[in-house]
Amino acid sequence: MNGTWLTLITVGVATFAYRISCIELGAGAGSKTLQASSRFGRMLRFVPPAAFAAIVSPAIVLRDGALLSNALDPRLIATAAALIAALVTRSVLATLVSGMIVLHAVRLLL
Amino acid sequence: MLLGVLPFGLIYGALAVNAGMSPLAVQLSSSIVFAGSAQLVIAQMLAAGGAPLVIIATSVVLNIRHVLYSASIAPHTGHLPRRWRMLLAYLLTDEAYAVAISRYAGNEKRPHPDFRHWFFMGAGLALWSVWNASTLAGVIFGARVPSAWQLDFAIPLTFIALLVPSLGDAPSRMAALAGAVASVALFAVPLKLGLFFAMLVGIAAGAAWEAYAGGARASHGPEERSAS
Repeated sequence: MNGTWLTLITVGVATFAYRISCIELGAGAGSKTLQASSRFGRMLRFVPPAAFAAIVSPAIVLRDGALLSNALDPRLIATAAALIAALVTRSVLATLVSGMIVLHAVRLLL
Repeated sequence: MLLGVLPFGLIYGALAVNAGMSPLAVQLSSSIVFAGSAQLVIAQMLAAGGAPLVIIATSVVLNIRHVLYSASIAPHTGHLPRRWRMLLAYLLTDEAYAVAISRYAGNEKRPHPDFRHWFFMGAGLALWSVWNASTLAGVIFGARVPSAWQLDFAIPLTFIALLVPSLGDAPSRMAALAGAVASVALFAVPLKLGLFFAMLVGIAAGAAWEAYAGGARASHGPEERSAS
């Protein structure tokens, strides 16, 4: 078994374990675990913003490992457009389409 | 909901194939892992030469949010037989959770007869089918996308769409800001460990900001630096 399959199966098992954890422990035990270590419960709330922002940022401001030097880089402008689209529509599709259209429009115009 | 999953699956399939994963691994990942953001992260990190252990650690942090969904759904599934609980747990994605909990919310008393777990299962299976079908379409179609389209940029755009709804309050925004800055600063760390640490930094910053703002809610401006 190579690294890819090892990774997929391990992450799959871990994800299923997360999803069934409180369901199998029972509602009482589950919520007690999360409240007893309420510090842990409160920290879980920050996983989505921290994780998603950490995934996004290098793809936007780095190219070949170095910071973009041009403030008018098409990717930065496209990111701004996508942020606005996400705020207004809350839709993955609309965010994606506006970002890609602006990326290519700016690339052709500049 | 299904309309949002469709492009996400297409992009995942297309990008994962272009990132060098075998089509079979790309497709089966949609059944084995069945969590879009983790699947994209895995494909991206494999392409960047990340070590399996680091990819696993990163995904395990990213996916820990499912414990919250599990805790939130648990009171509504306790009466079901084990087979049902296993199936519903497997189907408990971000989107299925959102659909199911909005169905359960507000009705503390269980209606008789209670068919809401059938609704949950139906939503989950519909999401699963669309996710796997769109992955397959992405796998087939993805190999033919010209590189001039810069489809790789679709990954950050997709995550922006996931990020924005999670920025509801100041501590969450601080978590995002710290995570983003740390991720750029730690980008050159070997084995792609930077993303893993950046997530931890972001989570810690959010918690620190919440503790700080909770203690001194009154007069401090938003420009105060938190201990990130």
